[in-house]
Amino acid sequence: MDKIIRFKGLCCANCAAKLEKKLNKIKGVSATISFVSGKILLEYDNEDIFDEAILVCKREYPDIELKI
Amino acid sequence: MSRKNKILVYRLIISFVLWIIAIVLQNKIDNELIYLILYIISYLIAGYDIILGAAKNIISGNLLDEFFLMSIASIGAFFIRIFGDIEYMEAVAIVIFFQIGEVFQGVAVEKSRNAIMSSMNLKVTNCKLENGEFVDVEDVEIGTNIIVRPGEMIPIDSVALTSGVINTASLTGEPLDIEINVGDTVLSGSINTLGSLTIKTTKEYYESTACKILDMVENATMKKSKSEKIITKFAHVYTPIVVGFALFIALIVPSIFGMFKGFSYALYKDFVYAALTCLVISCPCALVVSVPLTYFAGIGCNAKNKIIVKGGSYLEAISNVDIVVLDKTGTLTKAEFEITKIYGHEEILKIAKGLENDSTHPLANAINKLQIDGYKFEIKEKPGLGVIGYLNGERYLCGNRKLLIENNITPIEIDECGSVLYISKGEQCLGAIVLEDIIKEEAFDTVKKLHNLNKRIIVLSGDNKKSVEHLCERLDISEYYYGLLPVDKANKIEELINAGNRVMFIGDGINDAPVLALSQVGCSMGQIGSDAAIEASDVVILNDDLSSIPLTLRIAKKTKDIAMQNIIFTIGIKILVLLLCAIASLSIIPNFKVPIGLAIFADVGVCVIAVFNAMRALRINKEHKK
Repeated sequence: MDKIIRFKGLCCANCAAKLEKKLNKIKGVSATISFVSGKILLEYDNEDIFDEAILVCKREYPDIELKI
Repeated sequence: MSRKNKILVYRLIISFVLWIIAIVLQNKIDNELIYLILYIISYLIAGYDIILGAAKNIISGNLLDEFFLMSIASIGAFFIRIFGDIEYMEAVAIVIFFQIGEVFQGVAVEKSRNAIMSSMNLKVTNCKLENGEFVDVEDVEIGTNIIVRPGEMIPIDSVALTSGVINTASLTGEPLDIEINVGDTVLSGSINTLGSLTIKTTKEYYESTACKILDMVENATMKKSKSEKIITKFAHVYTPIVVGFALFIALIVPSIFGMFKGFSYALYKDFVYAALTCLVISCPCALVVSVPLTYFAGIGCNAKNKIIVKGGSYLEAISNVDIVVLDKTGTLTKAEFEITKIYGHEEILKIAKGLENDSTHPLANAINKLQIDGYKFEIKEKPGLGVIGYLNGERYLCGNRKLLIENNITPIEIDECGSVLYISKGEQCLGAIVLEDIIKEEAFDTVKKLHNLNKRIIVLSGDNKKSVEHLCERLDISEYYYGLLPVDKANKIEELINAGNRVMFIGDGINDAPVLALSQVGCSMGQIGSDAAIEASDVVILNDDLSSIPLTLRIAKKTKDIAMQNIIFTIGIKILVLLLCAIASLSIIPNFKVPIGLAIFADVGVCVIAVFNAMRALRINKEHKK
């Protein structure tokens, strides 16, 4: 399954790159983040993993606003 | 500007004013406590979130975060002052200017993004329903009737319920007014030019042409170019290296000196200052944002010219292309035929017109354009061969050589390039009509430009030897292959790729899906609304204009150059500052110090400059400047 999530509130491109790395560490997730267009492309195995990925985003960057 | 950024701006203004007051007081009064408190308040107003963020990161074990490093740099500067002689001013300046940089960066990136997206002029947010109500386009269901007022854009792909005139310039770049009748399909992104138009949607907003084009461009940043990936990897090691370097300067170097000269606080102080300067430039942000932004701007510039590049990786691939392979029919030519020669009596035209009357074959279209009356036949179509008709018990044929031979009629011998339609009556061939596909006007110029760009040009065609040869001669293309089936074309491309070439293929995208997929850059032309063609290609040229090819090659090349400039510039400045720090710490030049202000510039100033440089990619001109 894949989903495109729009985001706001990441401070810089480097944060986005780091978040991408963190997300890709989750088993069953493949993520690509484009800071420039403000989108996360999330490929995931099941809904639980999706929820986990969202949780990781919010834990790492509490200021992030996600539009799922 | 986001709300967060606005609040930050107010915070920075207050902080800045306090900072100035503190500087003035510092020179006027001797009571250190007063201006120290002012500095601390100013510092906290500007940077409390940095310190909070750093604290959070320490708890989660994320030490190499820019917040953490900034906190260390600024707090470190404070402490040096408490024990020594460096200004508090600088400690606060680090935080204030770092935050100003953040605001600038955010605004610059947001502005750039908006400029890129709006350069396409395809965005519609709401539309008017039949009952006069305005709704969000995203909520419109399939089958809803919508009213589009003159001058407005068609928001969603639909069929027309009233007749009118639309202009598809924002989709195809060709400012042509097209008349539409009831039942005609109208694509979103077209502009209604005359009178109010009622349409019935056939798709949802997200499935509509305009939205898909916008999405393609926006999602293009997901397919990252190689240089972007390298930069990201570099960023991952950059911070640890700089931090390591700073620790080295702060601890190891003075310790070595100390062994000879004896340890003292004054010895460490200068080294720590140099190390803090290094920490200020430890964030690789300028690099990480400027390269993808450059590619995004390049993609935006293409989009402005009605060329959709589906990813940064493809834009990079275009810049590396050395062979441009072109399909003939429909790409170099208009796929519209013109009669160039007639063999036989004029009567054959009447026969041909009568026989081809109902056919929609491109050859038939040329004949049907003739202003003559055709005979009335009883018609039988032979797909791939031609048409057979009967009149007064006599059999008439109009088609290719094969049709006549199959029916035991000897066709007349014709030595002409182009497509030939043979006409026969009864058992005898009466004559033939020679037709030629019209070459697009801009093809000549395009080929010349491609030659100037030093690209090898190859034409692959399914057509016969004569017509391909003739066309290539006229266009000054020396390499061509004819009589190819789609499979043969794919084999040819594979051959070229295996020989180490980087190939861009341009076709109409209908029968060429395997070839499009195989080439490093598959490019389809003039197929707006055809999902299959758009799906299969990496680059979609929305208009039918061949000059888009040299243009996109040029944009790709320039974009790559700008990205390269940004990489060299940002890395260069940072290395320069690091070197200066190293020189300062080794006391090679007496009393030489790298001001922290320079480091702040190397961090945020460089980033903003790189972002502005990236935006140049959006404004690459159509005309080739020498």
